[in-house]
Amino acid sequence: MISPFLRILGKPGGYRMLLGGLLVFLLALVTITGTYWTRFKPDEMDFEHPLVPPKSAWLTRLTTTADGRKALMESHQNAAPSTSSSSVTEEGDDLLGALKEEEHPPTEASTAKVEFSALRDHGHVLGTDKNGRDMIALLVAGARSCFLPGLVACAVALGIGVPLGLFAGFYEGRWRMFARIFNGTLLSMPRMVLILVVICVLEPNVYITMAVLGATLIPRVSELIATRVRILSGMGFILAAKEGGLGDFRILTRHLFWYQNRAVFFIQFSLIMAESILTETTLSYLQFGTKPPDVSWGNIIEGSRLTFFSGQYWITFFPAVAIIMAILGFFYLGDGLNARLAYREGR
Amino acid sequence: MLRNALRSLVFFLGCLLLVSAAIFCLVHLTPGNIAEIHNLSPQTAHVLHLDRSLPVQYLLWLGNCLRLDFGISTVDGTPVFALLRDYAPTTLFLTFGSLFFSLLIAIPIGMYRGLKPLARLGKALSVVVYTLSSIPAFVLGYVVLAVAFGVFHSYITTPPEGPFHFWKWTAYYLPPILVLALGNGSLGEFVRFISLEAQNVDAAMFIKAARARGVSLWPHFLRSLILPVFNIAVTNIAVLLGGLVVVERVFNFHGLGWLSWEATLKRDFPVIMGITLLMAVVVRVLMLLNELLSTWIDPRLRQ
Repeated sequence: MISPFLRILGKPGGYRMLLGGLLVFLLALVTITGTYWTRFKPDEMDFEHPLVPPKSAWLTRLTTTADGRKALMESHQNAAPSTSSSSVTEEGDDLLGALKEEEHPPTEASTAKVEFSALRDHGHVLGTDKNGRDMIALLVAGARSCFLPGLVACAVALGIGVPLGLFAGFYEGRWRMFARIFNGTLLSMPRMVLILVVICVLEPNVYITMAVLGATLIPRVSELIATRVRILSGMGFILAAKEGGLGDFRILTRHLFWYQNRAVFFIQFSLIMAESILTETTLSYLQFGTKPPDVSWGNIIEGSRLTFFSGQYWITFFPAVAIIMAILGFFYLGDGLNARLAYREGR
Repeated sequence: MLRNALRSLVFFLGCLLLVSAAIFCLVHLTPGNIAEIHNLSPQTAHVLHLDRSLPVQYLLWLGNCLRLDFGISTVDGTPVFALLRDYAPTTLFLTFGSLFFSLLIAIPIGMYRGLKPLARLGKALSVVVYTLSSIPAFVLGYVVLAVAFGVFHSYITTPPEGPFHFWKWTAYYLPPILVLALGNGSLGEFVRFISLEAQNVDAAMFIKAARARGVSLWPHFLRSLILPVFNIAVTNIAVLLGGLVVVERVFNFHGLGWLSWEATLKRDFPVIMGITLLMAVVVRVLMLLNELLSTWIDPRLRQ
């Protein structure tokens, strides 16, 4: 069952394709099924456990500094008397005890044990942020909010870029002139700044922002397709198709696009997804993309600025890892497919 | 030659005109009146020509821009030109610094990868480079900050004052420059492009001839690689300028990227229009120079 997947490895770009495909598959799986298996909802605030570290000891140690743990313990000590003293929960005390234990650790193993038993009950495996929202739920919600806008960007970039490239390559003349001017205009503004102008003026939701990102990617797609089509349309099979009486529409859609350029289409789809996840998280980090009540990996990181510098960086760490994984997944997938295409066409 | 130059010049002017028209339309054709959005009095609106028809407004705006008068900020009334003048040096420094560093890293790796495509080290290096360059700039910025705080227990947050002091300047400017050079997607692009070019040059007849004559190959290689490298650097300026918005925000640098972020947050239309126009002009001028220079240096491109 695994062997067809392993057979890819022998081909050029195989490792990248397999790795990228796995990561993308995981991301898609999390996006689609995430809400069914997460224990908490992303908007559910657990006020009794704000800023609890990840559940397993090694993750806690990886994502905090000693100063951070100390500060955390002190804040819990300060918070405990002020909250209605009768309802200080068992877990809270346990957590406190565990953190205290950790401050003067008897042995490494017993610390981990105590911490684990203390933090087991509240169920936040990757910890919580400063509002007590569960990190896993936030990560799943973030995966959703980067996947769908990415598809919008792809739709715009490929939906306009591919026809423009086909026309510019096939008809030459006016279409080519139009494409050149259109691309030249779009390329002379830095992408991020153009998006900022649109955000400044329209204050749009994230889908329209991503459509603008798609528009800024049109030049790349259309130029790529146009150069390929220009070479192809002088070849024998296109001349034969014209001689045989096929209409331009059929030649363009079937022979030039589907038979010759669909690989480019899928490669660009993958690369644009990577680009749009990058842009979406970046914009959310700059407070312009997904706005705070909704969750995006970028705005989790933006919200964790203060806790990051006080030494508890799991809130920054997990979204950052998620962003890198998602972008690398799409990037490697596109890159591997590209290497394979280049090999097939003998370049 | 002259015909080509004229054609590039016309293209340059046309693009800039279209860019300015696009920015103007974007700002003025939006739902809602600018005077109402910013609560301007009729007098102020009259001074800003907001009560004229749109084409007249566009021509007035364009004419003023040609005289370097980009209007005044709607937030605090500072002339936009003064703002641009104050914020541009930081941006200039960051842009060219990061361009220098990414070329410094990319040229050796790209050459090695292009000349020895099967070498393990080259493959590993290029994987590292691609991975680095697909990490978002702000995540990489956080990593750098974490290292600065965690390992060195400090990060200088104010610009160094007084006379030039090497270590102070390095400590302040190097982190954002490195983040911009490594993590903005341009490094991967550079390496890919340079390795392709090196491969092409390696297969060219004049290199074969030089090899047959037994002379040193480096002058030939470098001479034919200068133009492509300049080319890719110019085409990546736009990407770098875009990445500045993020890097300046993470590291709290007050440059044009920071200014555009702040203008967007405060909905300061003249400022963001000025920044976009300035960046478009810079990008277009560099591209024009690139075209003219390459046709001047390389006779093969004259047709």
